[in-house]
Amino acid sequence: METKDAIQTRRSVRRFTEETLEQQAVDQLLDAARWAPSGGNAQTWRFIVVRDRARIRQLRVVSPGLPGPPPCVLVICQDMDEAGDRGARLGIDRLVLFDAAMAAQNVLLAAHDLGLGSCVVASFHKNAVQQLLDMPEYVEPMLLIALGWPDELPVPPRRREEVVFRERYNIPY
Amino acid sequence: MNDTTSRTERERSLLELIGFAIISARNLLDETPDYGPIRLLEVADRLIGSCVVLGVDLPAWTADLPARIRAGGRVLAEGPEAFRLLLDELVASVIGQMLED
Repeated sequence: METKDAIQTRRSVRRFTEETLEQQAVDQLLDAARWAPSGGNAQTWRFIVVRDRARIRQLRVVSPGLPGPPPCVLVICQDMDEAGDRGARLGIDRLVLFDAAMAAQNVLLAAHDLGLGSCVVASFHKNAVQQLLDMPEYVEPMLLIALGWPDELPVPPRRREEVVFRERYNIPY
Repeated sequence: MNDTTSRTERERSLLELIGFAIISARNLLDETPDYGPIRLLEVADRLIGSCVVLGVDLPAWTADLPARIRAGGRVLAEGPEAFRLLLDELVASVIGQMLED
């Protein structure tokens, strides 16, 4: 799939079939995640692949935004200790967010290219996810991504044109 | 009564439903107010699912509710008026059933 098409035809999918994901597909998504840019190439993210049905059920209890249930959930975390060591305050306050988001976007596009559906979730209880997935305190979940074969084809909503300016703010593009 | 559902599965279903409602309440303190109605709809959807696990007979009028409820997220993305209309239709369904009693 052409990059532009992947970007413009990807949609958040909230209903999935029962079909599981092949390991090869998951590996491709993880490659996409690990090849995302990160501030100072710090690579402080950590990725947890959850495919156990019972564990996904638990995640859905503590993650109100998690649709599905999907056959796979990718949890994008950040090692906050390492983020502080590598990036100081900028690392802890901002880069952890930016870097997690860039990795997530890579995964979304790679998933779409494979014909998979995905949905990014920010609505979850951080401490509950940490405990359910045995994370140490310094590793924090940033985003969850529901992944699976789509059981729906949502229509893309309109994209706003008025968000772009020329040279300076408020000069129409 | 022939109870073929294991007690563990029943307890798990109730725990998941109660847990989802409580965790949603806590999370909503930090989230956009628009998520509130969506979470309540999801509680209704999960309650219907739990009834199936618990062996509670659901009336026929609830059969299409899960699909209508799950449309809520998409409709919300279309805009507040479309979402309000969906909720009004769901309310009308409930009131219609109450008036039949």
